[in-house]
Amino acid sequence: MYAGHLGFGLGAYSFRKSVPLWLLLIAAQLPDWLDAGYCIADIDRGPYGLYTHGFTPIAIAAVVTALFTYALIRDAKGALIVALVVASHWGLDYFTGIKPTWPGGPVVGMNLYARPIVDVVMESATILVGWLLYRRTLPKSVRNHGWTYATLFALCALQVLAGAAFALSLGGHTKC
Amino acid sequence: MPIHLLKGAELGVALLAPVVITLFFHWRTLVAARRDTQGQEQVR
Repeated sequence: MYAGHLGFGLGAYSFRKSVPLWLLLIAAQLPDWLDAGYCIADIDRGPYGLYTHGFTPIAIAAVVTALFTYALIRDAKGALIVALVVASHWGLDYFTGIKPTWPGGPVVGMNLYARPIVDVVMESATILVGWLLYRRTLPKSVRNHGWTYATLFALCALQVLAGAAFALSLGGHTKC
Repeated sequence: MPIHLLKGAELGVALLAPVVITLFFHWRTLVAARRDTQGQEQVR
């Protein structure tokens, strides 16, 4: 999943406005940021990304991010929400890709990347639901403002672009 | 430049783009809300 993770982060913001939005957005993408870090450091990500997208690294990332959040805002519920947002990454990726579980465990997923239109529809729906929740946190005077809708349209547009790029390189696409 | 650096940087940019865009629009929305509040106070 790509922009759909941002939709989940936006939705989570509606449950705890004390958590900075930037933190929720990064938390939603965190395992992918680990991928980028592993790529730059030229470290093996393991079979199917086991070392960044398996249960263990995601659990560790969730705990570390929750501790960081608690140190930042002193809000236990906010820290828990951030941990859940990190953990949500695996669940959302289950729909779009094929994901590892634990060392020696099964590799699972619906692999909607192989059906790009279904993937774009599903990710856009995730963005829409998250954006609707996020929109409720805004003052009533700007809920129908152009900038508010720009967030929704920009994320969906990025998803369409990413979906097209991914579909065109399917089969030859590797993260590193 | 080694290919793993390029791939990592490419992934980083792809991840950062939606975050930056979302935060920019969020900031512009909050600015619009503040202007609206200030406008209402001036009318009063």
